Amino acid sequence: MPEPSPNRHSLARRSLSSALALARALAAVVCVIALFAIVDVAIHGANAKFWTLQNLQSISVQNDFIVIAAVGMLLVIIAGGIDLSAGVMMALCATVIAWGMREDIGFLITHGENVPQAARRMKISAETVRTAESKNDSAQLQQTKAQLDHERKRLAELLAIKVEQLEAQSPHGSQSQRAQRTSRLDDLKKALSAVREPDGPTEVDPYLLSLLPNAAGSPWLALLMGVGTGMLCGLLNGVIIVFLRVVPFIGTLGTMMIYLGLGQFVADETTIRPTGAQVPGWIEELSFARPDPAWLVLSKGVWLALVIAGIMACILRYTVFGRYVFAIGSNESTARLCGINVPATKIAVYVLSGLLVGIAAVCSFAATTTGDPSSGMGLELKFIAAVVIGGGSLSGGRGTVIGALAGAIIMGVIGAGCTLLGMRNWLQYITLGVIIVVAVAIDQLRQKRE
Amino acid sequence: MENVSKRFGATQALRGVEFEARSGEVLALIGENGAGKSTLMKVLSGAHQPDEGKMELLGRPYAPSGPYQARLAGVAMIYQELNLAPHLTVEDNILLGQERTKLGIVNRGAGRAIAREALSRLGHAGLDLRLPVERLSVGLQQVIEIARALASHAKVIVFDEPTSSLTRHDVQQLFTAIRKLRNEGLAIVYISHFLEEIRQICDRFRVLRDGASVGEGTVAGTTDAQIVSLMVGRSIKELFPQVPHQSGDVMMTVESLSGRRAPREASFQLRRGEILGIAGLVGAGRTELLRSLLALDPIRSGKVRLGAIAPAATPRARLRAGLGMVSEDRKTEGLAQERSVADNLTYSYLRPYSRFGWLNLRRRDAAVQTWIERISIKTRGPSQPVRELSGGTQQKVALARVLHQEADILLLDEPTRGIDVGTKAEIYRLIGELAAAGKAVIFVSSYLPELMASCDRLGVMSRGRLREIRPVSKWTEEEVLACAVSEDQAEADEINSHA
Repeated sequence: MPEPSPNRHSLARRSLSSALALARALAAVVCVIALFAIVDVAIHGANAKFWTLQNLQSISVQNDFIVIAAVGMLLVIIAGGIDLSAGVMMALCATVIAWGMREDIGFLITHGENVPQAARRMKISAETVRTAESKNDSAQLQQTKAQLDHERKRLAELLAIKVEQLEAQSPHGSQSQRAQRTSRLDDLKKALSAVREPDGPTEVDPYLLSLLPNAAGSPWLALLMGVGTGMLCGLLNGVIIVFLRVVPFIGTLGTMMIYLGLGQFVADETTIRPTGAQVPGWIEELSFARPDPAWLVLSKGVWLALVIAGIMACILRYTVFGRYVFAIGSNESTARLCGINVPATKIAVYVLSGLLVGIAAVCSFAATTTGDPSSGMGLELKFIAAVVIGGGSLSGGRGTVIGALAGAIIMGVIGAGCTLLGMRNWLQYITLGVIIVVAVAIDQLRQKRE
Repeated sequence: MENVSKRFGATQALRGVEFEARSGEVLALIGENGAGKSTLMKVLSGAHQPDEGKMELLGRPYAPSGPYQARLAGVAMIYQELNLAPHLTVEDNILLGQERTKLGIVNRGAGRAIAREALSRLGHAGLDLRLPVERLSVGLQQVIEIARALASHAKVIVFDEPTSSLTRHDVQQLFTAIRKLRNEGLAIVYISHFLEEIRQICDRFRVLRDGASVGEGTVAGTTDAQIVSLMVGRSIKELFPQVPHQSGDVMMTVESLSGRRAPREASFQLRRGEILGIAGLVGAGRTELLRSLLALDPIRSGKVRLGAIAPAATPRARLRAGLGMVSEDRKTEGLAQERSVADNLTYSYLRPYSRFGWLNLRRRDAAVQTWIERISIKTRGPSQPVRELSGGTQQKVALARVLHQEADILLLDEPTRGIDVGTKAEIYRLIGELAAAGKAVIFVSSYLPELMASCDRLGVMSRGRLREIRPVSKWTEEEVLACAVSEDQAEADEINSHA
């Protein structure tokens, strides 16, 4: 009775079906891009800008962080969960990165304080000296003066380290840039020697302080902290969902608010803006639309996103962990029956997703170089939309990296394309909404027919 | 006196089934699992459209496009699993979908009168209409379903194995209600495979086998043996193939194992090459016994030892120690329906194909292919989603998983439920072969004949306790049934209302 089912036949079928999925995703992306290119040419004629390398570069670089975070969201959604905190979590991570940069975190750790803190302390102790003078209290005056002297020495010590660092940097850039650097260095040296004088000024020009570079380890440490924050947030999400048995929707709704609050705490309810000298060039380079070297074509951030997507696709397909994620999302009882460690796998899913959110935060920080804790609100819906447009099912067990990637690209292209065509903002939103509904409806119909 | 007649002729699942139900009469539709009863139900209720053939109701063509239309036409279904909104009240449930309204506003008074009348026709006039139905026993919930059918002026009521989750007391109440409705002139179709029940309540019968109707007659004028031979359609030998096997040394010792509700202090030993059957009523704790052996449910006390090892109380540890389980419910537990045959077959044992967590898919699919051929799983290949397979084939995938993981002790929970007779025979043979190969099997089933035919020893459970284990030859069917209901009714009722 068994029907003929030779091995080769089924293997061929499978590669055919995955090729089909790839083709479908590509076709959708190409269609959307072609549509905008054609409409653009029809409207603007020879001035059409959509189908230019420059435009495609800029669209891609604006969406690199969405792709990375959407891949994390995909993992969560395949496992049958949802992460409403992802957007705010990303902003929190970016805020932590910005904080680490602004506070010169490496220097702060090795020296116990950073230069601005030392400067602030000197200023405060100078004020106490003045109060003591006005009170004519000689004992107190002596004490506060000794304190000021101490602070002055400390600041001079820290400043000297920084100036030394700045001097040690090999000169590069154009002639005018080098000249500017030399003049800045001279200003700093002057300020340093002024501070060193026992009766010198008790304040340092904040502009000069903003020129100070961070310690070599600071950027790395800041990035590490940002990514680590993502993983910790993911861990918290996982623990709440697995051990407290709160459904993912509610659990992450709660942590969304917690992460927003934490971000505002870190940023002191403002936006953290590290100075230009504090953010190293190689971080900003991630978001340069035109990469250096030019043969990369797309920005380094975009390549980072693509590599991450590739790795995740392999994890989902070729690892035991990936299979278990699908098993849990498709039927958790079956997973238990098969001896899969469901709690551990679920927590790993949320931690991994948090890691990706952290990396997405690096990319988004590279573009803005600021940390604004409230900038992530609503972003999670974009991540979810990318997954869903790409055929992911919110009931779990279904979804592909290539689909999520296509979903993110389609949303990005529509957003940028509408702007380029001069479409009003409200029209863009309606278009995006229709795309989401139509994409999922088509997918449902296809599923039903199969 | 109105005549209700229906005729069908669908292709695969149903091959030209025909029967007629007359008003004032209870017609039994008898057939084994997989005989086509559930498909027939779906056609009757409008969930499926027949490919061929036609149905008539009261002399007019009857072709419902969905359950609602069927109900409007006067055909109501009472399914095995009840279809109630647990949080709504008795009244709301009875009137669900047929609320009496005036200008869009629910007319409570008129509705209440209808609900009250329907209940009193069933002999439950005193029931509080405002009670949420989740607080009622299963038996009373069924009464609510029947009342709903009456409230919609049903002329035909179809019962699909209505007694499977009822206590004996509730069964008698149900029968009283059915007789009453018959005497009021309704046509009743009663689907079951319990001959004893059919003898009690039905007037005529129709036997379904392999999607076709193979015989009919009056219940009074036919012997049980005649009906059974119609149902089975083949000799007992073909149905229950025997594979000779020998019990060896003790493999597993279970000492007073207790779960949250069931089992209660279950103790037994299982030998190599032995098939141990577990019989009992629904809700007796048979599934819970298997689940606690695999530590799927929390274990309160007791020991499970396999030889020298006492594995930790996690499914993972128990699986590694050599236990494997086939769940009674393929949809909600047994299989990940969306995933492929290969995935489902190997989830419990991916180790042979993985290195540092990375899988060799080619090797895995090749291994899956050999299993597909070895127990002839009817599939297009390892990558076909399980949801596309028939019930029997899905069951083979679930069994193949336990075989693939090289389990020494197989826990099979209703492994032949809802699958066709041919596949059943294959599964019995497979179980015998496993025992012959030195594995041990615990076989839970509600179908006593298959337990009697396949098992070496048979244990009976009731209200969570494993009552007695004897060699099969020392049991008679009557003794098993008596043992299964041996405890006082009050406690059994309590267990049922929790189920």
